Amino acid sequence: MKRSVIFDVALRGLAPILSLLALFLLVSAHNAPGGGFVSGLVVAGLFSLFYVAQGRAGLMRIQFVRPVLLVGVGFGVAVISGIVPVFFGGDLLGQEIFTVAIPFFGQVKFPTSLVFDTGILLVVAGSVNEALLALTSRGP
Amino acid sequence: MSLSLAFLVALMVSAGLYLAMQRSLTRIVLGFGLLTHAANLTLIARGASLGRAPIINGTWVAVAISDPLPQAFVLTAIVISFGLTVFALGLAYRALILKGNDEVEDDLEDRRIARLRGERDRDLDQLGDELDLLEEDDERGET
Amino acid sequence: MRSALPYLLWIPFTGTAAALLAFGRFWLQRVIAVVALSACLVLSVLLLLEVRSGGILVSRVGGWPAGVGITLVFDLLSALVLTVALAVLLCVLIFAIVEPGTDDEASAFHPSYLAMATGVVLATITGDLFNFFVAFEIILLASFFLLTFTAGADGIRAGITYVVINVVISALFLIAIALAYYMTGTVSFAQLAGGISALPPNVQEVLWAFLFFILGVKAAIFPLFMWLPDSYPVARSPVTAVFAGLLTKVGVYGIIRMKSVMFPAVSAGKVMVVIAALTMVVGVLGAIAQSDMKRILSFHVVSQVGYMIFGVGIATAAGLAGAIFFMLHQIPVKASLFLVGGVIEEEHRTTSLKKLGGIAHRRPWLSALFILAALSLAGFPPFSGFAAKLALIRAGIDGREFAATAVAAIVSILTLYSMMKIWGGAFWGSPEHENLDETPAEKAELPEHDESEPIDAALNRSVKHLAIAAAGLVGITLAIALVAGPLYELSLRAAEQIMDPKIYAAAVLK
Repeated sequence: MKRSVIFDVALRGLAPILSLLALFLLVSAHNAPGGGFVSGLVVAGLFSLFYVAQGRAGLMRIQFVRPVLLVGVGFGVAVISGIVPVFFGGDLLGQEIFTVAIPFFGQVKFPTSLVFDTGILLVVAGSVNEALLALTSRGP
Repeated sequence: MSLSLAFLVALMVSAGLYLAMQRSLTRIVLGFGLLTHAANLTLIARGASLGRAPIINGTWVAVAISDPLPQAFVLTAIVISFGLTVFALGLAYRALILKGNDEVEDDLEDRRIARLRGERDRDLDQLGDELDLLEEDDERGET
Repeated sequence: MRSALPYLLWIPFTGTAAALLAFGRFWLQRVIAVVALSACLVLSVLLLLEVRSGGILVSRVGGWPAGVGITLVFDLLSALVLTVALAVLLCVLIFAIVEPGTDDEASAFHPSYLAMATGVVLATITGDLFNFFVAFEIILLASFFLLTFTAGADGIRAGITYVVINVVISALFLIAIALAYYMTGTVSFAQLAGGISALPPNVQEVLWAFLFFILGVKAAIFPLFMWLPDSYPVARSPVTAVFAGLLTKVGVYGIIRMKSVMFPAVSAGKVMVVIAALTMVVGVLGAIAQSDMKRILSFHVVSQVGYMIFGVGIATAAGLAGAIFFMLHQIPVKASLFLVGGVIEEEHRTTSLKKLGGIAHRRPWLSALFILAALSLAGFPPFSGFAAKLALIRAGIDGREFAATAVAAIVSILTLYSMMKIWGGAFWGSPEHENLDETPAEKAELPEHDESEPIDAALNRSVKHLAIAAAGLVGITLAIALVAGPLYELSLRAAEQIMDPKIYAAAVLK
């Protein structure tokens, strides 16, 4: 595959922006479009862009754990966030909303489903990444 | 559901089925995509029109806001079809590695049964020919 | 105990996560899988004891009301099916752990297996149509993986048949759900019951026909079964066992649930009885024509599904109870037959009847296991199959379906015949080497069956362990035969419970 220098350089600027977009979609999910799956897809798109721009080597360079472990951790986080409300007298998979006052941001709502969404993000990003690695094992 | 959407769903289902029946796994994967999107479209077409849905304060309120439930269904269905597509691609890739192409072959057992039938027909033909010869011999013997 | 219901789902789901995290550490994965399934089984038994007198447990996940949120409903039918299914899943898991040669490919086996268990749990306890679909998809994705991850080129071909059929059917299922939602504005079984009965009768019939077609493909009824005998025999034995035992039964469970809760007014009994009779006959004839043990058993899966559809089609409480009881008996019997086949495959590297022979002399215990399960399948008294078939045939005569009842009786004799064919081919006699279809290379691979030749000690030991694992399942079959009376009573109560959709709706919408 022929690599484009322009694309490669552009990706360096694009990567932080896409990461921020993913973060924004994750935390804004309460009462607004977004959520773990969508932000996971953005992260997965970022991985795919790395593959397109820099080939398999570029994809390998940004790996810090095995993607399967990412999936496992994501599942684990989602599952544990489901059981935590039980210890506080709620239902299994129930949702609580904490409102925290943060200086400069004002009143910020933290639903416990945010933790669940983070787990979903990890599952989606990890599984796409694993699929990319598996499907390109003989590619450039 | 508007009529144009219904026709679109029909078109996507038929195209998807056609692709799913091809030999090449890559085309089958494309067919899966069309089929699942046709199903999603059916769901979302419902949600855009009437509905007693929106969940406000935990109760049903009949107002002119689109129904959120089909959207939740579609999101789930998209996740599932995403998983299926990745799996099918993985299968195609494995076939490529194992055999060098992604064509679906005939069933071995089918072929064996077809061959058995061919052998039996041939045997019967031979038997028939031999019987004919014998009869001819008999006729010759009688004359 | 009301809030204990979601844990049925939570336990195997957590197990999946933990097994994924233990990627590569086989012993840890094994421990996680066994612990998760055992805990789930214990919980299921406890809940079964709670609902045995006819109660219905309902749990609203996240506190949302039925119709908006996810509702889990646990009635007697769910309890019975789920308990037997989990017991079989646990036995097959132990067999898979004991089976040598799975280790190297097993790093993804346990997560997939637990995901499949999660799907089975969700399918049996879900209270709405859409989550039933989701459960089916979870089972499917896991089963795709289990079917193909050990497969070679031939396995991929058979896997593709399975994948294509199931994905197409899933898309149609989604469209059917969309149509049901379009017409009634809900997907909750309890609300659908009222919503559908308000529709015109012909619309009801079309919707039922659509759903019956979809579930029929999943359950492998005539004429939609052709994918099953093609794809099942390629997988490894434990995988085939759990597929044959469970997956088609989940389809049958869906048919029973939907027919009784959503479409009680549709009188499709005659059509279903005819389809059931054809399924029985075609399945058993297919089995008789085959000469490979796994393929014979796969065709029997089809044939036996016919009995359950027959029970549903009779549309009386007795018929439904017969179908439920037959399903409970069928899950362990089918799985144990495939496991015995797996033991034979482990030892001889083939399940072709032409290449096998004389197992009865060398492995009398294994042969005893097979004959117990086979007689049970064929419905020989006093085994569980006899009680199940007797219940169905009696219901058939009471329901005045004489022709189909006669077919059921004849098919059960044919089943016995084809079981005897396996017995004669594999357990008695000696292997035939004069096989026209074999190349000389294939012949050279055949192990010799000389009595004098010492059998490899390691293989011998592993075969013994496998036979013990398979014995666990045969034990479940025999246990069902022992408690056939009380179990039939429970099935009858479950049938009466679901025959009246008002009970279900009242419990869920409370």
